[in-house]
Amino acid sequence: MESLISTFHIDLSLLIAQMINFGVVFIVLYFLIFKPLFKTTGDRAARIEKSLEEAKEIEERLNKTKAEEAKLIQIAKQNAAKIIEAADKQAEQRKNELVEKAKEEIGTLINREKAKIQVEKAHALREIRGEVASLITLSWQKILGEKMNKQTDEKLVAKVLKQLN
Amino acid sequence: MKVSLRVYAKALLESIHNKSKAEIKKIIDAWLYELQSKNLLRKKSQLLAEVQALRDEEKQIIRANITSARKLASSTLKQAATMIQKRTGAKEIIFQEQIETKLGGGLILHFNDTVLDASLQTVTAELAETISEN
Repeated sequence: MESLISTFHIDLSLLIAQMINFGVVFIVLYFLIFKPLFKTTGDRAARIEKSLEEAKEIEERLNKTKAEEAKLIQIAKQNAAKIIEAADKQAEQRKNELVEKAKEEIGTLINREKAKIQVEKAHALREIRGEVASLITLSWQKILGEKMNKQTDEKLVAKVLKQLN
Repeated sequence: MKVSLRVYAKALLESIHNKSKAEIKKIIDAWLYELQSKNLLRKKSQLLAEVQALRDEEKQIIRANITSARKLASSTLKQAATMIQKRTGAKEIIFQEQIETKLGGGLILHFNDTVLDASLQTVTAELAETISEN
């Protein structure tokens, strides 16, 4: 050991002093630089990891939201389709109702007009008949007035009385 | 109690039945006095009509209105009287004749509640009505 020390010219006291110096420097460096540095690095790594987890969670949520959105869109589309179908059906029904009502109204109108025409026709016929009857009566009275004399009147009265008998 | 005109008329006719002229005169005077006291003389025309109606009933006389366009021959009137007698059983028919030229011809007979209208005016009117209706 001594030979080794003499060979390399090692000064023990200097070595111990250097070791102490090293220890002091190490302690100082550890507490003032390494420890805060390790802590900062560790915190940063934790933050990064947390951020990554959050990013992953956000991505998952986004994906989930997208899926839900797609599902909601699908449901909305289905509902919209149903509403459109119902509206179409209702519109068709309304259209049919309106057509039926219009038909009914037209029918009523036609019937009313027919009845009116019938009444007018009957009225006109009655008037014509009345006119014809008046003409016939007047003609009859004129002819009979001209033809009727005391003799024919007596014959007529006698015939009537015979019938009454 | 209110006594009808018919009762007064009937009383008069029953009172004068089989009485002499002098008695009838007295009865009529008393009857008129009674009417005057009851203030019924103002209805004398109705009373006389009732008397005549009662007398006609008793004697079975029917008064008939006969309306024609021209004056009818007596034979026609006889024929009409016979017809009415057959229908009613009356012994005598007294005609009240009316001339209405607007009838044109034929006749209208009215007796009791019966009206027999065989005038040309009515016949032509019925004809006109039939044409109008059909």
